[in-house]
Amino acid sequence: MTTIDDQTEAPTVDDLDAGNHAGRQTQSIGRLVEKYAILIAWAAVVAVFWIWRPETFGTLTNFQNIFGSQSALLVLTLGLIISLSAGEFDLSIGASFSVGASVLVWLDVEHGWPIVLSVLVVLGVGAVIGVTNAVISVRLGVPSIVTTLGTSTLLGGLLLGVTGPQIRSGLDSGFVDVVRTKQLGLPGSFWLALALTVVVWYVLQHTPLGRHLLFVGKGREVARLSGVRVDAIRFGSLVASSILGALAGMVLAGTSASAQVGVGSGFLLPAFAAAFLGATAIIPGQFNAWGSWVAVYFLLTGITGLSMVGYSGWPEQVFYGGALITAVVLSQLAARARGRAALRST
Amino acid sequence: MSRTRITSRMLGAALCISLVAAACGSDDTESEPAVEEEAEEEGAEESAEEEAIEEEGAESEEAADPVADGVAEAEALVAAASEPVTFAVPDGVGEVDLAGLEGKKVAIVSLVQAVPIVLQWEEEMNAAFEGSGLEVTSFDGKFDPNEWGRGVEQAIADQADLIFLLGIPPIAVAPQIADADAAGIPVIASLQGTPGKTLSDVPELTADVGFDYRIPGEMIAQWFVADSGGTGNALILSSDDNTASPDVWGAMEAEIERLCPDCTFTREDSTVPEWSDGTLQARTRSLMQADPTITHILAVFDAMTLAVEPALVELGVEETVRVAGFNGTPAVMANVQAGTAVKMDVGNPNMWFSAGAVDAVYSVLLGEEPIEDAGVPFRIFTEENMGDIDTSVEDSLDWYGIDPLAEYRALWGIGG
Repeated sequence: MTTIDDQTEAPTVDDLDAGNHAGRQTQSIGRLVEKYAILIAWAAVVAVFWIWRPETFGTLTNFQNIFGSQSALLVLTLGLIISLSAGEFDLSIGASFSVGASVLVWLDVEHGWPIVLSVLVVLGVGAVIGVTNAVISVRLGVPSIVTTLGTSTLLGGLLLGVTGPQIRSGLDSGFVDVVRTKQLGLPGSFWLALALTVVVWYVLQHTPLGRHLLFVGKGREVARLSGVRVDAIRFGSLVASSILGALAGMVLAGTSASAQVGVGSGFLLPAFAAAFLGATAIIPGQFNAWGSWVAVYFLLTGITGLSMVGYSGWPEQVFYGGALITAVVLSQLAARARGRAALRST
Repeated sequence: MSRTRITSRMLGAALCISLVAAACGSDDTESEPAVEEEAEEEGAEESAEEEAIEEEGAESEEAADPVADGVAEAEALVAAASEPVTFAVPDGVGEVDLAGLEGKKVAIVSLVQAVPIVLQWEEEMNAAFEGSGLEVTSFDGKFDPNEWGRGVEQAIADQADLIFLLGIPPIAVAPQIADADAAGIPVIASLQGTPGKTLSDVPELTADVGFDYRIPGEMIAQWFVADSGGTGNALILSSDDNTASPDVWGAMEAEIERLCPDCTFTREDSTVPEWSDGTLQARTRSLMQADPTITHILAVFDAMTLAVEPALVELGVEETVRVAGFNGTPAVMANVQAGTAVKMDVGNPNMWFSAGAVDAVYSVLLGEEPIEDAGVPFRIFTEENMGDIDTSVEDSLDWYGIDPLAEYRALWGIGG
């Protein structure tokens, strides 16, 4: 490895200019590759499966299926990146997801509540979960990873006791239509998730609130010394996370017109995977909405292609985990290379 | 938790026993019509009338001792169910028109491939499809409703000719089934407890094939009544997040009540993840400590006993509490064979279901009426009738004395 200390002869001004220029060029190319690496990988995955199975993978219907079937996971991931951006781990977001799906169906089907009222109540329950997490973590100082682990288990038990273990179906057809009816070939859930992605992107990247959120996540004490209302930001991030978790559960319930207790537990790790994979793309090193969007659909494209060519099951998990590890490692290596290049150019 | 105490029946049984005991002192063996005649005789003395009524009670109780009769019936049923099974052709199974199947695509969307029995059904279906000319694809539903729906949508995008839902509750993918129906693709559900029961829940469903989960529930109850001599106290372990569970325990409880007025039982529900995360083991321990009079633990699905047995060992009651379950899972069969607390397992030749499911696929693709109940038989396994069979993997011929796939293939006219 070459460093400034390795130089045995003092460089001239021209040498320094040339070096700085080359360094900046290397940095910018590296940064560009890093920024769009997953998009490039996504395109490669599409190309491979398109060539492999043109008659099934390379169809409009298939892409409509890919984009139309993971909206619940995307909404959940968007909720997760809000709390992660503030440096909080919300492990109860899976339980909020289960609450969203199960309580909605339970209120609407079992108790005959109007669907609009049921949706509002579920969002309210999501807020209560978030406030509970926030009070314990922010006000009482318990680490959020511990708090949300506890509330997650607590909610799982309460939900089982209240709604029972059976699958419940028959959700309001109007709600199901909103979630499933297609516009431009894609279901309502896709457009809802896309709109939320835009909102979260705008808030995180283009508002003072978003910048404060990122400051708090990067360094709580520095943010506090800078005058940021750290506790309020942390509190709000946990509440927003739970509300979006409950909303994601309702999206899933609308997709299947049914719900079962515990459904959210299966979404928790994929949401974390998408959030961390997304943090390596578009705005590398930062949880971001478009990175998450790309990550969710990149992973889904890969496992869809694998199952279409007959590699369903364990190969999908290998792809899922392998893609996450590879992206994070490459992102780390790229960051180190950038750091070395910056060092060389000074 | 639900608790059923058959108090009134116990009182009735006690009354019957006391009447029988009282009647034992009498030497009179007159027949009932004769007694009636005597009782109706005009001007008869009061003492003679009382004696006649007493004799009538004795006669009827001797004829119907509900406890002994129930145990005797249970023992006979258990003995019959312990024998190897025989092949019986479900109505509608016959020769298959291979030309009508050539080049068609079948998409299997399975509940979760990580569960061995589900994967076994799928692999056996693939074996049964061999030689049919069908192209069969597989989708792992990962025990995730979102994935189940995605699997159906992907099959539609893949232009499948038929979608087979392996163990997936159709009500959880009703909108997607409607999409398939709109696209002209038939959808078959399977293994939902009682064959055909989901057709009314999801009208767009083409067929619902499987086996009757109530039968193993009844068999477990019969074994319990026989094994306890009609005096057992059972803890029933259910798992109602599986749609077939209520069929199994419902039949189990009804059969216990039918055969055994002196038996008692309680039921405790656990979710599928709780079987293996330590919760069921801890729960079993607590329940056993709360009610030390429990003599039997009856699991709706035998994989639950893998958590129950260690709990009994921890409490030191593995020699006194007896366990049974349903599914013929190899690891549980090995426990039965090894003489652990798991004394009985109800199994069924899974290949029989898989072949029956494939027959339903053929029928739908050929425009014929599919079978609903594959007619799968069940067998009771205990240490006594297992001998030294290889329990490491299910072998229909070795375990049940039959090769269902060969039988089906002969009927279909496909291969050997």
